[in-house]
Amino acid sequence: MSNYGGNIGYRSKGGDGTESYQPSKNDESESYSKGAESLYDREPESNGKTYDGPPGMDVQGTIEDNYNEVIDSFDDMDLKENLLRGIYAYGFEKPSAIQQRAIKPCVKGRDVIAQAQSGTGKTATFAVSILQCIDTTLPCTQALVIAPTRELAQQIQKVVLALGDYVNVHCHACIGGTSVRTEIQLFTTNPPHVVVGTPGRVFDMINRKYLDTKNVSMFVLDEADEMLSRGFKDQIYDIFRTMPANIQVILLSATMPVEVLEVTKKFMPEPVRILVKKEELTLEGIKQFYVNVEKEEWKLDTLCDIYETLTITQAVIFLNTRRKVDWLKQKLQDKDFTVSSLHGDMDQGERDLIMREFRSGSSRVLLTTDLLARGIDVQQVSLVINYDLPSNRENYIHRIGRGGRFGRKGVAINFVTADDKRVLNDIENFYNTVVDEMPMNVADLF
Amino acid sequence: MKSKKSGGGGKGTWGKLGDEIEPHLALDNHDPNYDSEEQDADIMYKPVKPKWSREETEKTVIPILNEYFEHAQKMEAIDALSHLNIDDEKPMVVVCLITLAMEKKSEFRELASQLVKSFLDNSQAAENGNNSSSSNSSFMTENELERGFDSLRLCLADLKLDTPDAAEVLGKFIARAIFDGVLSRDIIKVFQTTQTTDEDLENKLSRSCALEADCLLKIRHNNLKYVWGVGGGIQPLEVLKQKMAALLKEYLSSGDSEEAMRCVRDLDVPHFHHEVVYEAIVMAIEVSTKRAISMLVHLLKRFSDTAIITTDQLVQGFVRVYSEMPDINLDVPNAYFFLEQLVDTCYELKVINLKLKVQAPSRSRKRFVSEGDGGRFKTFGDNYFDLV
Repeated sequence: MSNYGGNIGYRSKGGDGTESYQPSKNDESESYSKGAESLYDREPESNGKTYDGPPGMDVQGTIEDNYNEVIDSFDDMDLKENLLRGIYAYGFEKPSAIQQRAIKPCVKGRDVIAQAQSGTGKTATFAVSILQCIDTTLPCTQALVIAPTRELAQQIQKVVLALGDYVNVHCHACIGGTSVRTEIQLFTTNPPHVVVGTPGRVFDMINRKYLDTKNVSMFVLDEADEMLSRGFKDQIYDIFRTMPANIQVILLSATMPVEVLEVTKKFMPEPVRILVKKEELTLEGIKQFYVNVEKEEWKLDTLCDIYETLTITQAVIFLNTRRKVDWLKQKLQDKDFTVSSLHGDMDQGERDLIMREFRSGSSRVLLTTDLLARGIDVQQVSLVINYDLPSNRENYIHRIGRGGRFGRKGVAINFVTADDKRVLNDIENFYNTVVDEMPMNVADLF
Repeated sequence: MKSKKSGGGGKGTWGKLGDEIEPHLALDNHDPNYDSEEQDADIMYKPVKPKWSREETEKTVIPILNEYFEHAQKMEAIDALSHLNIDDEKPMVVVCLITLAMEKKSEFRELASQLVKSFLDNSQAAENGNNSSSSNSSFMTENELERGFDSLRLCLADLKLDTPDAAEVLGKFIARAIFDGVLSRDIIKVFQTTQTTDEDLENKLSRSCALEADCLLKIRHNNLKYVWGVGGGIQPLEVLKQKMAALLKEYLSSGDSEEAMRCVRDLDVPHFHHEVVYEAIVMAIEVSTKRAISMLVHLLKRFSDTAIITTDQLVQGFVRVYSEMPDINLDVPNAYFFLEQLVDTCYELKVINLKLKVQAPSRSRKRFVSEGDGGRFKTFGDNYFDLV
């Protein structure tokens, strides 16, 4: 595998394409590419290039890792002490796969391409690197992060601020809505160390000369594939043009389509490439059950019946609406059960507080919805109950899937009314998985 | 506000003509004639709900809408919104909804369009949300909806910063609303007429938005129900499967792997990608031509390279095919041979790993190997497969 590294489309550098992929020792791959060449000459390929391996790449793949150093503890990453404090205070214990590999080269100042599925800790990867590299005593913008949506930009800002709690970082999210004057004032009197925003808005700020890019040393493109598919290509190139010549570029993306590779080719001369093609969330090892409750009204009784069983461990109960969360909380409290709930009117701080309480074990049951649970690690919890099945099947894995970080054990129980049977069946097919009827001895599984 | 002056009112005047004949009602407790005993009977307490400011409205409405994007229950969202005292700010709900939807993928824009429809057309919402208890009056009037879209027009320049194709997207929303019969076509004219003569960005955007809406509506028999396409984990499983089969078929005739990848991404069901893999392999086996197999293998390679389909999903797809091989073999007598070819090429191209390769069922393998396949299996030797 190693002899194919280092050629993610930099074939121009090697002179001719043949240098980047020499099918050594493996005769089959050569014969394939030859065979394919003649075959594919007949196929109209959208990018119009001659077939040279699959379009635009060598036969080994679009992009291959070329970096294998793994550091499996934050302590060993030579980070600032105050940053480490922030990391642990945020609740991180062990770095995720992408963090174990990508933080070091980012901190070293290398250009980095990191490919990993969403929800694998990519945001924290570059947040840690930025916080390690910037000098917070200098009042100037040193890092620029662009993201596909305002929502994501705000999340990034939150992560940067939380991790950088002890290094006094000033991070600003350009999300509009504020008056021009306050924005100018902010940038002139107290320029943020880190600026986050969508490409359009960030370029607007640069264009209006609010944002001074001459001291920017890190340029991060988060979810590059999403940004390009939302049509931000021109804005990204525009911003890049304003960057100082020796800029360090960090690009993160869940997928690596041709558009993203083009960007990497243009922006990054010798990048470190880190790929984590495996999904972080999986249903493997999760025991999934359903309980026939027949009617919606019988769900509550069913829940109370198994309540004793499930409070052996901690449990998260998912409902579809906030109103129902409030209602169920009331019902359970009337029966003297101690439950926490994430409420829609809570701000992030309150939500974090509830989560901390829950994690510390002061209550054993947490009620929540998909929306409220977003961005919160409920993954340590080994029992998840779907009081309502999710409307969007993609949410199912976000509710009950587990990441490798937390061990792959867990039990999920779905409440299924007569109408829901088909819905559950669809979920089984969607995830190519099996949901069994809950056995009597479910308590033994914990 | 209409002026109340009809003459004679106001401070320091003599009052209206004939005022002095009217019985004097002293309601002011500073008035010497004021008698609290007398007045109490007349005092009515009216519940006054404080009006919400724009900011407060946004803060409350946005979580409700975000939640709607998750649970997709129109009635639930409208119920929650009706409980707010936001009569004057109802157009704001439209503004918030569309602004949020702009940042999201097509499936959520579709949900937004459906909610806009339900705002005016309650019967349809009630039927879907199976909640018949609520009143029959609609949540919003057409006028309010129109005002909402009009304020969006004024924000277009700002929206464009975060969504480069904001004008076109808004055009689609408008076209869809008109198609759904909740908005009149007159709004397009409003968008077309420019307020000022000079060519500023705002006018340009407003016009391109109107153009988009107009174009979409002008195509006869254009079913704008599908203006946002079909995708997302909310769609019925069968629909998703059909879409996947269709895009593979299209790829086989066009050879455009980039387009196929775009289609898969647009479906936005990353955890259902094993179906694409499964369908591609089965299709390759069923079509049985060398061309089809090579093309579909190439597509799988592209999917794996770009990580649009993750390793986990690829493995799941292959394993599903493996387990159904006996069945597939009934329809395609040479199925095992084709599968073997496909699996081998995939392995050579590093789409799948050795473990997955040797798991492949190979009932009639020996015969086909001996019939010659360019000595492809030499590297591993036949006994390699016996290990499993």
